[in-house]
Amino acid sequence: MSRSYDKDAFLTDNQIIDLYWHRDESAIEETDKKYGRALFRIAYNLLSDRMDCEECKNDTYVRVWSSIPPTRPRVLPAYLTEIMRRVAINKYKQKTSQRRVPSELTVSMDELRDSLQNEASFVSEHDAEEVGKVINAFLREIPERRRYIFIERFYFAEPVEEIATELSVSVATVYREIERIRKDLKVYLERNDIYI
Amino acid sequence: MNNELLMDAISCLDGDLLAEHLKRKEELSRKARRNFMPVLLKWSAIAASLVLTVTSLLLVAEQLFKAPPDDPPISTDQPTDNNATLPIVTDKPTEDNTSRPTEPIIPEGEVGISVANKLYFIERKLTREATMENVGDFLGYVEDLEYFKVFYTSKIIIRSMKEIYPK
Repeated sequence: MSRSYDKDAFLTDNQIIDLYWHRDESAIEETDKKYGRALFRIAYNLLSDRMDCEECKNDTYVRVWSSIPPTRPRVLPAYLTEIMRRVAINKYKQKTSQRRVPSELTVSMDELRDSLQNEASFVSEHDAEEVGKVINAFLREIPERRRYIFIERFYFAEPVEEIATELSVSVATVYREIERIRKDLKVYLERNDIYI
Repeated sequence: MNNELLMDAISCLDGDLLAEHLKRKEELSRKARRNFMPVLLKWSAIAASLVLTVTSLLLVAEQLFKAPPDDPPISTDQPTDNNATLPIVTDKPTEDNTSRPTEPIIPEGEVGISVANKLYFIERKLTREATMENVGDFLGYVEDLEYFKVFYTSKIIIRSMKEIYPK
């Protein structure tokens, strides 16, 4: 497959997907060039270990290589992010079975769990997928800024300071928003008979 | 209750929500990059102003305190003994030495010259015309000058008098 592009410029997502479809190995190189840093960052927020992050990144590329084709992702970065997060979460679970991982993910999950727990939590059993659907519905109902903060903090495990910089607001504002999100989520889950 | 259920539930985030989120994140970072340019320009302007101010101050200071253009003419025919009466200066007025000099210390066309140059003219005048009798009159010229000018003028007078009447 012939390609003509500036060495430093990125290919478009569709061009990269085409490379995967044509089983061109430079697809991985192009993916790494365009999204490598972002993927590394996602893993680093979850694991806080550079070696593990590199390992997760390579696992992600292997998975993407073996899944495209037949899959043709509509939004490549979202697809990569999802795979990277799953790989990193698996690694995180492996590591937490031996010891507690001092990462941003641990902090954010502790925050969320503590605010959602109540007496009913200890007798309830829920499927993650079921809870996930309710959380998705909740996210569609809340304002855009809160949704952004929720995903940044609890999906990507970004530090609060980083979120504040991205949104050009103070750290205190972000904390206040997170507190409101947790309260609203708790009410929303309870309304759907979910006690975490 | 461990964190795993929460983590897995959040991992089930809808693909559309994630795609929308990534798009917004990209927009925000582009906006941040755009906003960075005016900030950079602002700080560049401040830095340039500071450099300009410092350079101007240095130039003004140099103008104020620079040395006179050349050494003032000093008569070399100095009396050697302490009883000598007056210095022999060729262009010194020969009569009415005790009277206040009539020509201005600062020449007519030299308005607006630097303090250093004014001091040079005063020094030259003193060297040529000052005597023990009329030195008080020369001091009269500097009465209305600011303190520092008086101070430096006095120093020049003392130096000139030492040259006129060396020990």
